[in-house]
Amino acid sequence: MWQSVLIRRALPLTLSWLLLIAAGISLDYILHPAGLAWIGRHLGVAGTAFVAASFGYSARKKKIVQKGTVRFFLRLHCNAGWIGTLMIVVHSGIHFNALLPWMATLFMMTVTASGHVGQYLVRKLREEVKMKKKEHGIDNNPDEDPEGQYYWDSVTMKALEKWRTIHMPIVSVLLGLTLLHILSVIFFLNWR
Amino acid sequence: MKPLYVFILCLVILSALAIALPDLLLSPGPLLKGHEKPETSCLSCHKPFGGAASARCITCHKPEDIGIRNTVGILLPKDTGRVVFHKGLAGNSCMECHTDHKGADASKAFKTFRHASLTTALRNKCITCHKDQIPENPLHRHAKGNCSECHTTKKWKPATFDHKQFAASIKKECITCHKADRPNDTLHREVTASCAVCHGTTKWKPATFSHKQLAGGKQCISCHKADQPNDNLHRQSGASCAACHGTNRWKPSTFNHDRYFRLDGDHRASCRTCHTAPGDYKTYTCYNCHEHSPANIAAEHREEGIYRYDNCMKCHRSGKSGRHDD
Repeated sequence: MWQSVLIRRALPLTLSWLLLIAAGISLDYILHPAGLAWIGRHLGVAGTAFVAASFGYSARKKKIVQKGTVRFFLRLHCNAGWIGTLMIVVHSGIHFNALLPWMATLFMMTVTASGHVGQYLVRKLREEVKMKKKEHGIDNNPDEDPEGQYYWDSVTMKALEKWRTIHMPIVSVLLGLTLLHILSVIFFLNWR
Repeated sequence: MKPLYVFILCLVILSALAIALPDLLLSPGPLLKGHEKPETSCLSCHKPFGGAASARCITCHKPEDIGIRNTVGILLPKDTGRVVFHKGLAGNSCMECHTDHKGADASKAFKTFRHASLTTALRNKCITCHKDQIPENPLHRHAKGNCSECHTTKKWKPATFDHKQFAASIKKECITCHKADRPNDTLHREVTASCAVCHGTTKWKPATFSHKQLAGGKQCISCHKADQPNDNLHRQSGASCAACHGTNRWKPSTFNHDRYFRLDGDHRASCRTCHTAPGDYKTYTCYNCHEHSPANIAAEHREEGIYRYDNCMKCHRSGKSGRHDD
């Protein structure tokens, strides 16, 4: 039972998402009594920067960025996204006023959850590809047989297409909400 | 649908909603009572990309009327502190205390209040605004100076207090403020003098204590019980500490037995052997030792023609025989 993908992969990813929420709430409870609530305000900028950095993965896949492995950028995407999300959860705090920023926060949590699902799918599919290769006696070394490896990679990618049809639109909505939130802050803020 | 189209569509819809319903989508909190009208017209107070300027506040809230009458001209209950405070303020400083959307509580203001916004005259009269913040304690009851003599405008603590602020008569009454600092020990219970007799105003320790402050007839042991070494000499001795020790330091002790009688090899006995009366070291007897029986001593002295031999020490300063032993 402990070897099933559900336990080995799904459980840690679920815990990772829940930990995000718990950490965000805990940090909020620490900052307020310490009189450091102003840090939360600035974490919005820092969090957005981290999330923006996570888009390096998309840039790499579209070959806008040419250096570095896709694997590295995928890890950057996951880690920077998690850290950025945490910062923005602290930035949001436990206040319920304007609807726009709260929709952005909810969509961000949804995107992060979707990202965790994506991670689960990638790992699950990799395991399945490994098993299928073993079944068919295929033992290709990616360096020696790049074409063969490319085939297995595209099998994985196709399987993830369905997941992407959900992940990408909610990312787009999140981007729209975030951009509007940032613009409204710039429009109304007392800069002096 | 391509993500880009989703993004653009979302942006257009949300922008339209934000313009139509700004209080629902954008407002960071309810406005103060009386500001209901600007609720759907953010630009009543907010200048695009310029924030809410204090100049807009004073359009309705004239600084000279604050605390006196409201925006429609109705007189308010008297509040001198508020009147004086706002009168002395620079016109563009409303935002330093009042952040609408977060209520009237100045502590929630986005901007920090700057004392520089006040006129010099008002800045030097801390008490005008901070009257309610004066702690109820003897220190603040006696301190006559301005708050700024001890406190900065950034925060109350740490404060830099100087005893020189007090009048000479108050300075002698240390206990008025320092009652809680007084240790509950025998020494402090016995000493009735002012703290200043032993302590400086910079710190409590080191203190300059003099035994002369103590009333006469005091037993050393009443304060120095913990100082008494737990050894044979001190356990056997029932005398006052002063019999052997001075008041400046314990060591060296002022008592020197050799002045009276040298305790040589035969005489290294316990104090009680010679000083039989407890605590009394002025009286002694040499007869407790088997060497010196009254009959023997009497015989030996009479043989020499000595008939007064009750004070052995007068002639014998050590175990050697002879007058004023060599």
